[in-house]
Amino acid sequence: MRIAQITGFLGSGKTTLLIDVAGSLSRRGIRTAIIMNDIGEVSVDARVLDDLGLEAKELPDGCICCQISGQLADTLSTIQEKIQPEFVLVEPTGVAKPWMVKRATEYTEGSGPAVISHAPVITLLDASRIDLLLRAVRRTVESQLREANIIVINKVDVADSDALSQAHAFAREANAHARIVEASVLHKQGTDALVEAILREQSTRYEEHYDQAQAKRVRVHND
Amino acid sequence: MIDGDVSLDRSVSTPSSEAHGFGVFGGVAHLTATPPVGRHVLADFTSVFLQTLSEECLDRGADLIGHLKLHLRTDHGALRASLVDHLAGPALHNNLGEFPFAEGDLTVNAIVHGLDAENVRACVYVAARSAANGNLAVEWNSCVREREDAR
Repeated sequence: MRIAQITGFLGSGKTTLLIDVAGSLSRRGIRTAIIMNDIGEVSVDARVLDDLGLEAKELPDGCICCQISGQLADTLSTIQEKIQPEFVLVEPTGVAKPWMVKRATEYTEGSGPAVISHAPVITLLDASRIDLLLRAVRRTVESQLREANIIVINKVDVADSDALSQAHAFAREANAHARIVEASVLHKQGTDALVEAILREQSTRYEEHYDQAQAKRVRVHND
Repeated sequence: MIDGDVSLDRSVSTPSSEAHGFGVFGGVAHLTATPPVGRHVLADFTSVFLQTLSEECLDRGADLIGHLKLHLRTDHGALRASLVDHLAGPALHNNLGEFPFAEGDLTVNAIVHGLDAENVRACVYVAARSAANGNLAVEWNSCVREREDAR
C-alpha cells in the first residue's frame, strides 16, 4: 500500500490538488482510497468529495501526526482489509508534520499484512500570501517544507513577482534538497507532473528518515 | 424561528482542542427560505457570510485566516465556497441549477490563527445573521448528534 501525502498550510490548495490527483488515478484504473484529516469536528471537504463521487474517510477533531495517530493506523488497516488499495491519498491537517504522519502509517504493518511505501511528500506553499504566512506562522510552514520531497509553489497565477521570488527563496532556505515546482492547481497547471511523480517516485520510510537523522546527530557529535 | 435570525444553540460543536494555536469552529445548520429564493440569493448569502466572517475575525484580533469553508447541500445540487484571503474574497462553485431554494444543509468550517474557539464561534454567528438578511433563516444543529447518528 503506497501512501501519498499532500501537505501544506491551511488554504494552500491541498484539497484542490487531492481532487485532481484522485480523479487522475481513478481514470487510470488505479484503486485509490482517500483519508482526510481536519482539526474541526466537521469537514466541508468530505462533503465536497462526496458531491464529486469520491468517497473519503474522515478523521476529524485531532491531528493524525500526533493526537490521533493510532486512529490513522487503524483506519489504514480497515481500508486494506476492505478494498486493498494501491494508493492511499492522505491529506493531513494544515499543521501536521509529514514525517510523523509517515510514522503513524507504518504502525499499520504491526497489525496486518500491509506493507507501507511512500510516494514523494508533496507540500504546497501559497505564494499569493507568502508575506502574511511568514509573519504569522513561519515556523509551522518552514517545518512542513523541510520534510517535503516536492515543494509546489502554488497560486502562481495570482501572486506577483516579488511574492514568487520570496516564496522560492523561503522554500529553498527551508529545504535544500526538495524539487521546487510552480503550479496553479485550481487551473490544473502543473498538476500532471505531480501525478506522475506520485506514480513513479519513492520517498524514504520513517525508519530511514529516523536513521539518517540519528546518523547526522552522531556525525555532529563526533565533529 | 424568525426569518434572518440565527439560533444560538450551545450544543453546536467547538472542538476542545485549540490545536496548534488555532481557534476552530465546525458546525452544521439548516438553512431555509420562506418564500423560496433563487440561487443568486444563495450566492450572495455565501459571499457575504464568508467576507463578514473574515472581517469579524480580523477585527477581534486574528492575525491570519487559516481557511473558512462552507458547503450547502440541497435537493437540487450543492454549493461550496471558501475564503483564505479576505482581500481576494471568496471562491464559489455551484451546480444548483435554476430551481428555487427552500431548504438545505449548511456545513461550516472555520480555522483562524490568533483567536480562540469561543471568539471564532461568535464571529460565525454574527456573520450568519448578517448574511441571512431577512431572506433566509439559519438554525444551527448539533454536529455531535450528527456524528453519533452517522456511526
